[in-house]
Amino acid sequence: MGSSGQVSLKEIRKALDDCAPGAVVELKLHHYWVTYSGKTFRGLPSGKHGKTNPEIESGVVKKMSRFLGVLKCMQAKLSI
Amino acid sequence: MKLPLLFGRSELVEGDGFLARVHVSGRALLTEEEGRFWVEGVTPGGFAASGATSAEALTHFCEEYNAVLFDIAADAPSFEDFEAEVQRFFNDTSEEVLGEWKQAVEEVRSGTVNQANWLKKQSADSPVSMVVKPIGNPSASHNLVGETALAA
Repeated sequence: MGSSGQVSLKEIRKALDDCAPGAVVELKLHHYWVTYSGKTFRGLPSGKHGKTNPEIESGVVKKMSRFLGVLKCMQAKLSI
Repeated sequence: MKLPLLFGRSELVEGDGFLARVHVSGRALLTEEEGRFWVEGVTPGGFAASGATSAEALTHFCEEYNAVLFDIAADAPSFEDFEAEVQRFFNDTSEEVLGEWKQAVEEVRSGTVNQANWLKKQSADSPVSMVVKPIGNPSASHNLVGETALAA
């Protein structure tokens, strides 16, 4: 799938449990914020439909994972 | 392709009970990955946007930046809380991404980058900042036009 596909928030949460234990995912007005190890990625789109489990562009998940310093682990869990 | 960008934006943001002007002089990194263009925040970091063209990615990046400010405003009970969270946002930088931005600046300075003729050049050593001011007396003199430049 590479970075052109999509990943569900549920899949992201599951991968974060392994790669960034203790990471906090918070729903804001337009985004989910993910905080881990003193850094907050503020750019996961919350989606327009329901917001409980949005599909998120895998490239954004890759940027988030790199920002939080857990890219290799997340790539082993997700197609990003 | 990796282009180091400097961007300036001046936004008017409404919160519950306050109106604020947010002026940023920041850094971003424009890349092309698997045929898609990405603009990633460097300073402030922690957000990114993509597009089919570099112009589309830049447009989406500016929209995402505004949306993050609106997220912050929606949660801020006061101007002071809004200002403090905006500063946290500005200070959230990834050293890895900043390193890539600096490496891209060196490539621009070496003269090997030729995909950026559409951007004006600005010194990569330009100061970065994010200033939040309460707006008590609206004035046309506060309006500023945003711009994007190639960091060189």
